[in-house]
Amino acid sequence: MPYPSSPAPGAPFRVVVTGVGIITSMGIGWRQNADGFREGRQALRPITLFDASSQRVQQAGEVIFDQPLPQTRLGRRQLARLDRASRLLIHAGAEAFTQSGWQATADAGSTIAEDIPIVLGTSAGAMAVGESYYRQKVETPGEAHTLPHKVVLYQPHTQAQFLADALGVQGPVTMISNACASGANAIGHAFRLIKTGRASRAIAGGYDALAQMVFAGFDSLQALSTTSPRPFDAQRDGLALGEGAAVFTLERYEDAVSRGANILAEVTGYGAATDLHHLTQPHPQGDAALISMTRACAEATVEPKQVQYINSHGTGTPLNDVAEGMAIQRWAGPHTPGIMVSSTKGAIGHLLGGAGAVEAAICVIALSEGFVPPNAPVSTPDPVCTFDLVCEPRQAQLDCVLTNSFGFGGANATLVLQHPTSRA
Amino acid sequence: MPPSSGSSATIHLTGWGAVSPAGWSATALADAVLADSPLPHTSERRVPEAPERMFRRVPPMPATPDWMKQPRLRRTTAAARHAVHAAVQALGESHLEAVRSSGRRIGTIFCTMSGCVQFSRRFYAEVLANPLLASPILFPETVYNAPASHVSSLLGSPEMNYTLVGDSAQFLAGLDLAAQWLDDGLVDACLVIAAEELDWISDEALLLFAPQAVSAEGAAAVLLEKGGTSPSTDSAITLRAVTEAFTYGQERDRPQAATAVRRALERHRAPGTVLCDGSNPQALASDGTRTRGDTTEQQLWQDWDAPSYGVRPVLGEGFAITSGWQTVLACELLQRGLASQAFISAVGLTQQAVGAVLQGPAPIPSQP
Repeated sequence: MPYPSSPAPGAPFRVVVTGVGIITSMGIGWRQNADGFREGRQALRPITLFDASSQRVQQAGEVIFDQPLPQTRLGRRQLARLDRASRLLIHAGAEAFTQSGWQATADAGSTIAEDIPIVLGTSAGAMAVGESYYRQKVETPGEAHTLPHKVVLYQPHTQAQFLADALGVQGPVTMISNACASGANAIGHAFRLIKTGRASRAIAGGYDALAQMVFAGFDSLQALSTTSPRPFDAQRDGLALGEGAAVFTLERYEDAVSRGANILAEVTGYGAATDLHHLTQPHPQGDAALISMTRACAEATVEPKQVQYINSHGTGTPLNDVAEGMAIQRWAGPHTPGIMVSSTKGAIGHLLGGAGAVEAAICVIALSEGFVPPNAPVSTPDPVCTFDLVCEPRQAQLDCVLTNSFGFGGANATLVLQHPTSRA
Repeated sequence: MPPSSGSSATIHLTGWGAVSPAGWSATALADAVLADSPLPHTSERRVPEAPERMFRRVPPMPATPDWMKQPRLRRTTAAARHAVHAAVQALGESHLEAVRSSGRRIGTIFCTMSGCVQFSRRFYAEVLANPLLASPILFPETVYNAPASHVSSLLGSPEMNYTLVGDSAQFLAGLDLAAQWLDDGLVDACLVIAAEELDWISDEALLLFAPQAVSAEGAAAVLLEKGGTSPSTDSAITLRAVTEAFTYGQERDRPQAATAVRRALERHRAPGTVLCDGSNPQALASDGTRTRGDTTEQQLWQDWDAPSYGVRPVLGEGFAITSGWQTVLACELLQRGLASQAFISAVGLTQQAVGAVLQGPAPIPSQP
């Protein structure tokens, strides 16, 4: 957005979600994911993308591409160049765009006249492409064939450009790489652009594809579960990695109403903070998580007693779950026992830069369809679970939910999402 | 604090710093660019069959300051060390303790294109050799936001911290984001930083597009504050404008994006304006033509009739630092009274074109 900008008359604006696209190992699209999360299915499977036989763990939330890419404006050459991460992103982006009804606007002309900002979060981008580049450079140092293509594709903004071209939009691209909070930061940033009047609508989301280097990295930290990921279990032993994407179309409430759009949810608050404790370990008391939750709820003007459900970061690592649980206790105080909490990472794995967006999408689905996605089964809940840990499928009419995302480097982000009728 | 709607109060650049092949200061950078002579570079092949890469390293640090001795910074990557040094320069080294204890909300926006490539390359090599022996020391430092995290830790600031991955124009888009955070009251001050480090993996990638290009490493940082919020804003440099980030794609090509930047900048033209652009006449492709980005930027400003300064011919290709170095150079020119206003033009390598306008402490002469 150019600086300086004139103050927007009418700001602050209410910001609503009119489209959500999602792809995970649970399936492609809203329906498959909604059904899977409602039933509490686990979608982890043996890794086929690279040789994991030498590692301690051989399973992950690998996506099965059992549907062709949706029809978009990408040409044949671009389609041939898409890497795995871009395909994830375009699946999600096309679904959100179609759902939003913005597609009709785009079809009327060659492009959407208005610049639409694209804000995406990713941690690894096209890491698998970078790995391929490295191997070629080492094995055949003098050979340059296909390398320029790989260098361009490795840049995360190339994936955003694919998305823009696929949807026929143009606008500033912002790539946020705040590790595992990236997707939540991206949605939060787009929310602020609209709320303050700097943009009237935006496309936001997050994505990451499985890559050998990242998988080995988490294994090297002994963060991967060698049994089954079960966040908040007293005997939990780590996480599973996953891949996927979620994309949101966000716009002003007034605009959505005036064009008769189907409003799926309202984004009402966003909080971000930085944990200074350690590069990879959270503060034991969850200091930064407490700040991000408090800030998000202050912006949304909601009290802890109004928040019915928290989609927790809940990685299933010993340190994360205790720190997040402590933060929830400190934030909610006496209301803690009444708050439903679950982590969906036991079902699809940890999607890293895509996690925040995908988990926000799961929240929107839960708000829309009236259920709480259950946590993976636990044998004995960790003592920190003084909240209502939901481990079985549960129907619930939700009005106000919160999603937490915490990442390496101390990146903490929280989003507050509300049912469209809850603030009418 | 929830954001308020953009009020666009005056925003100042109250400090800046740089690490570059010219040395560990913004002064060294500006002196080198004003001398207008390419710094010496090194040529090297990692193996006989590999292309010969050319690069300019940051010279060895004169002495390790005490603040670098905290455990968190001991095994950081070169990019992170460059970033924290530039950030501390921008804040003022003597103010570091005061900053840590002041309670001021200082945001951090870190820009990079290649990230921490040294550790990434080393770690992946270990994975290929034997994943069970791949070092857990290396992996956490490979994430794009590791340098930004170290900066926040050094400052003791739990405030907003974004890492933006983008091309050589990203730093200017980072200035714009900082202005938004300040306007919205999310932070009291904001550091915008860019950093990169050399490695054969990125140097050889550059050669695929510009066979004569010289890679460079380092960092740039500026501190932004709202006017009237601290004594240092009284005689500071003003951020007059940042253009939209004109993204490349099917709907807009690079020359169109560049033209849009120039058009936006020209609205602020005034006597005493200098240009800090990103073109590099020395980065010739193998067929003798200039590289794509350089051709565009060269043509964009070919009729510019006032002084212009370029960092690339002297320092080399700094990827995401490039527009940061341009910004630091502009600050130095304005502070030294060599200009009253500076245009910064960044026609990015692969993503976007962005421009910015900085105004010096001295008033701009009125139009004749």
